[in-house]
Amino acid sequence: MNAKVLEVRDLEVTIETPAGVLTAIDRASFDLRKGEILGLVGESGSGKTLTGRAIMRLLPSKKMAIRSGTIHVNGEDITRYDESRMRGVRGRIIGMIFQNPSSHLDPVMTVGKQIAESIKFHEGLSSKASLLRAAELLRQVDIPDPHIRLNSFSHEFSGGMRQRAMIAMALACRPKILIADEPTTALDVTVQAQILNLLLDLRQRRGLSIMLVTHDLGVVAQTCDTIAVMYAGRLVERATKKDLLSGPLHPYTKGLIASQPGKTQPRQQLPSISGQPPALASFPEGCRFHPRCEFSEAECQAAVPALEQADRDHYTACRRWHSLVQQKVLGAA
Amino acid sequence: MNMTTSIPVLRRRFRIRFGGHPRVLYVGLGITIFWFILALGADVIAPFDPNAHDISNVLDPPSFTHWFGTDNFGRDVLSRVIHGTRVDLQMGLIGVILPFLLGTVVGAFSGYFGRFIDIVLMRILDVMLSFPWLVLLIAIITVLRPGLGSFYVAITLVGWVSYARLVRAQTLVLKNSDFVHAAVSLGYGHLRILFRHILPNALIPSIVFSMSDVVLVILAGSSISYLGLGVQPPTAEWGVMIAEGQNFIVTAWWITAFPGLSIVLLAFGFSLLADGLGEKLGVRE
Amino acid sequence: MSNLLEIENLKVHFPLPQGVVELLTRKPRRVVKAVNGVSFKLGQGQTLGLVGESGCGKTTLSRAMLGLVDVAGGSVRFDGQDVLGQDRAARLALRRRAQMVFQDPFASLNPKMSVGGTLAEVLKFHRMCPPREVPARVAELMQMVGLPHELSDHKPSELSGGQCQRVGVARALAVSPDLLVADESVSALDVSIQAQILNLFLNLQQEMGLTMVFIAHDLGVVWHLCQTIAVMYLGRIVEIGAANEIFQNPRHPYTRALISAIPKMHPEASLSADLLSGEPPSPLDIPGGCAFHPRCPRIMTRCRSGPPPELINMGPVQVACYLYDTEQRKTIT
Repeated sequence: MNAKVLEVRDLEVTIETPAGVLTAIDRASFDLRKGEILGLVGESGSGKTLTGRAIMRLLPSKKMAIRSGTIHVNGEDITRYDESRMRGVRGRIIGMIFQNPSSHLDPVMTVGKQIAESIKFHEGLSSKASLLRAAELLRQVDIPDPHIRLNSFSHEFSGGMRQRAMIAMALACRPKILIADEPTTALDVTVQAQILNLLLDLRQRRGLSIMLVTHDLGVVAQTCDTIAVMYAGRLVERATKKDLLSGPLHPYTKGLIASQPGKTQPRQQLPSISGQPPALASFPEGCRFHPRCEFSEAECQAAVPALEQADRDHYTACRRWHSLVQQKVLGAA
Repeated sequence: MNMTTSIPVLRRRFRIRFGGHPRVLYVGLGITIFWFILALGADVIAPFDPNAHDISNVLDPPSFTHWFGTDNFGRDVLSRVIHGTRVDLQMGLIGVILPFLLGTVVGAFSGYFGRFIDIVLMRILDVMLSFPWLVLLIAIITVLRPGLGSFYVAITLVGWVSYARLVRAQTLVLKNSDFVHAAVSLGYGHLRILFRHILPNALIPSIVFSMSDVVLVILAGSSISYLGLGVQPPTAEWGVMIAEGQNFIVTAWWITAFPGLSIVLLAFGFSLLADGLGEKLGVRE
Repeated sequence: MSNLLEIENLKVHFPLPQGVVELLTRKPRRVVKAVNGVSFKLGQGQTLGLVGESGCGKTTLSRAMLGLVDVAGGSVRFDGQDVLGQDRAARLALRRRAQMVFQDPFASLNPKMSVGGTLAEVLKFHRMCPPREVPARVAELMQMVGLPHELSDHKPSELSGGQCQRVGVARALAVSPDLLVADESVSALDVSIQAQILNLFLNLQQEMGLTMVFIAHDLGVVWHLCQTIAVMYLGRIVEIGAANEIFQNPRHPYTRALISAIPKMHPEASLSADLLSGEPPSPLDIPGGCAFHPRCPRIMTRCRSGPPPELINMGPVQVACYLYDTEQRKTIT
C-alpha cells in the first residue's frame, strides 16, 4: 500500500449565520494515498466543495472557519499553518482546479503570463525561464502550438482548452496533490472524457495524487480508485470504487446509484430517494439521512452514527448496516 | 449546485426567518420617521406661529422661551424650522416621485422595445447628462416663473434621466431571463410582461437610489429657494431661512445655523436609510 | 396516427451586428447558423429526445418549434397547420397547444410572484376555466406535479430546485398542451431530485398521453425517457431513430463517440480508448461538406468536398453520413 500524502481527521468547518454557528462539515475523515484518485461525491449542501477548499484553507467567506480536526500533508498538520506558510503550500504542494475555468482565469492577462507568475512566485525563476516552463506545461496538457498559445488570452480558448490551461497552472510548481473541484461539470461530454483522460495520464506520468470532487457518479466510476460519499456535511460511506458500486453499504449511496438512468428498464419509474437534501440550518437529528431513508428506525434519529469499518477498506456511517446486509437490502447483489 | 452556490440560498432563507436587518437601516428609519412626525404634527408641535412677527423680541439668542432664538422679525426660529420640515420633505418626496415615474416608464419602454425608441431616448439622455445638473435646473426655473411649481417641473425634466438609466439596464437583463421567455411562450402580451413581470423585478435599484436622491433633491430645493427661485418668503423653508439669515450670520448665528443643521440631519437620515435598504435588498452586499 | 409536429428543412440563422468598419467596407454579414436544415416528424404520444453538445442548435430548434424565434427557412407544421408567419390570434392558439419547461428552475419563475399566483395568472389569461374555479384548478395542478398545497403562497426563493421545476411543469400543463418541450429540465437539479422529476415526466407521458420533446446533453436521461432519439451536430441531425438502436448500434461516428464518452457506472468501468479529439467548432464557422469531417475518425474525400450528407434510411434509424451511402446500403467497416 502506498504512503498517505493527505490525511484528514475529524475535520469540522463552521459557518456563522444569523441563526447561530452552524456546522457545515461534521468530522470528516479520509485519506489520500500516493498516486491514488479519490472521488468525493455528494449533492448540494453535502459539503464536498467546502472540504476541498478547507484543505487549501481557501474558505469562501470570513464567516467560515475550521473549528477542529487535522489535515496532515506529508506528515505535517497544515491547519496550524499561518497564512504565509499556507502560501507556500498552495500551488507548491497542493494544486487546485475549479469548475468554471473562465472565472478562474484572469481575462486581462495572457495565459502564459498567468502560468509563469506561479512559477516565478514559488521557485524564483526569471520571467524568461518561467515562460519556457509554461510552454512546456501547455504541451503536457495537450494544447496544440503551445509557444503561440502562451500569448493568447483566456477568452480565445475554448472551454476544454481553458480547463487544460487551468490544469497547467495548477501543476506549474509540481505539487504532489491536486484537488479538482467539479472540473468537468461545465464541459461537453466528449470534452469531459478528454479532460478525465488527461488527469489519468498525469497521475501516471507524474505520480500525482488527485482528489476529485463531483456530483457525477459516472465520472467517479470511470476515474477513481476510492470513493467517499458525503451527505449533509458528513461522510456516510467510503470504499474502493469496486466495492462501493457493486455493494453499497449505506442507504443513501444505494439510493443514489439506483436512481441513475441506465440500471432500470427504460420508460419505467426510476427508484428515487424521496424528499430533498436538507438545508444547513435544518439538518435532522441523529443520522442526517433518516427522514428520507426507507429503512430508518428509532435508533437512527437517536444518535449520530459514526463511521464504522464494515470490511477491509469499506466504511459506512449507517448504524443498521449489518442487519440491512442480512436482509439483503444493502451490500453486494 | 455546490456549497458555495447555496450560500445565497441560505442568505435568502435567513432573511425570511430571522430578518437580519442591518443597524444602519434602523437608525436611518428612526431619523426619517422623526422628521415625518415633525412635518405632520407641525401645527401642534411648534410652540409659536411661524409667521408671527414680534418686534419686541427681535434677534433674541436661544433661550428657554425661544429654544432656537428669534430672527430679525421676531419670529420663533424653532417654529419656523418645524414648519419648514413640511416644505422640505414635500420637496424631497414630490421631487423624487415625479422623476421616478417618468424615468421608469421611459426606461422600461426603452429597454424592452429597444431599437428606434431606445436610440432616440438614449441620445436625449446623453445630451441631458452633459449639462451640469444645477445649472439646467436654474435655467428651466428662470424660464418659467420662479416658485415651487416650477421647481417640480424642472426637477422632473432633469431628474428622470437617472431612473431611466437604472430601469433600462435592469429591463435589458430581465428581458432575457427564463421567466420572461416563459411568459412569452405562454402568449402574454408585451404590456402585461413589462408591467407585471419585468418592472416589479426591475425597480429595486431605483428604489434604493431614490432614497439618496431625496437628499439631493432637498439640497437642490433649498439651494434654489436660497437663490430666491423656489419657495418665496415669508414661507418658512430652510433654504429661504438661510438666505434671510445670512446678513446676520455674525451677530445672530442661530438664524442660519439651525436650518442648516436640519438640512444636514434630514439628509443624513435618508442617506442611512438608503444604505440600510440597499444592504437589506441585496443591492450592496 | 397523424403527426403532431412536422419540421421540414428548418433553418434558424442569427446575423451578427456589424461594426462601423464592416458596414463601410460592405463585408457580408456574419451569420450564426444555429439550425441548418433540420427535418423530422413527431407523432402524437411519442417522445423525442434531442441530444448534442454546445453549439449543436438543440435549444434554438426547440424555440423555433414553438414559434419563439424568427426562422430563416423551412417550415414547422403543428397538427397540419403552418406555425410560422401566422397572425396574432393563431400564434396565441398555438401557445395553448405547445409549452416549454426551462432549464434553470429558479430563473424560470417570476421571483415576485407566488406559486399560486403564477399558476392562476395562466389560467385566467387563457380563460381555461371560469374565475371562481381558478383556486380549485390551481390545487389540481399542484397535485398533478406532486407539490404540497401549503406551498401555493410561497415565492420561488422559498422553494428548492426540484420544487421550482415542478412549478414550471405545472405552469406548462395549466394550458393543457398537446406538446411539451423540456429544455434541459433536469440538468440543474441534484442527482437524487433528477430521478423524481424524470418520474414525473414519465407519468405525464403515460397517463396523459403527452407528446414530448426532451432536450438534454445527458444521453442516459434521454435513453430512459424517449422512444426516439435525434443526435444533433452543428445545426443538423446526424442520426435519428429508435432509442435502443442508437445506443446499442450507433452508426454515425459522432454518435459512436458520444456514446462511448458517456460515463458508465459499472464497478469495472474505465475510460474508453477511442476518444474524440478537439472540440465542437463554433456555429459561426461551420466546416464545409460534412460539418463533422475535421474530427471524424472515418473521414473520406467526399466528406470534405461534397455537400453536407442527407439522412439515409437504414431501417430503425436514419443516418446522415457518407459511410452509409452506397447502392446496396451496405455499411463499410
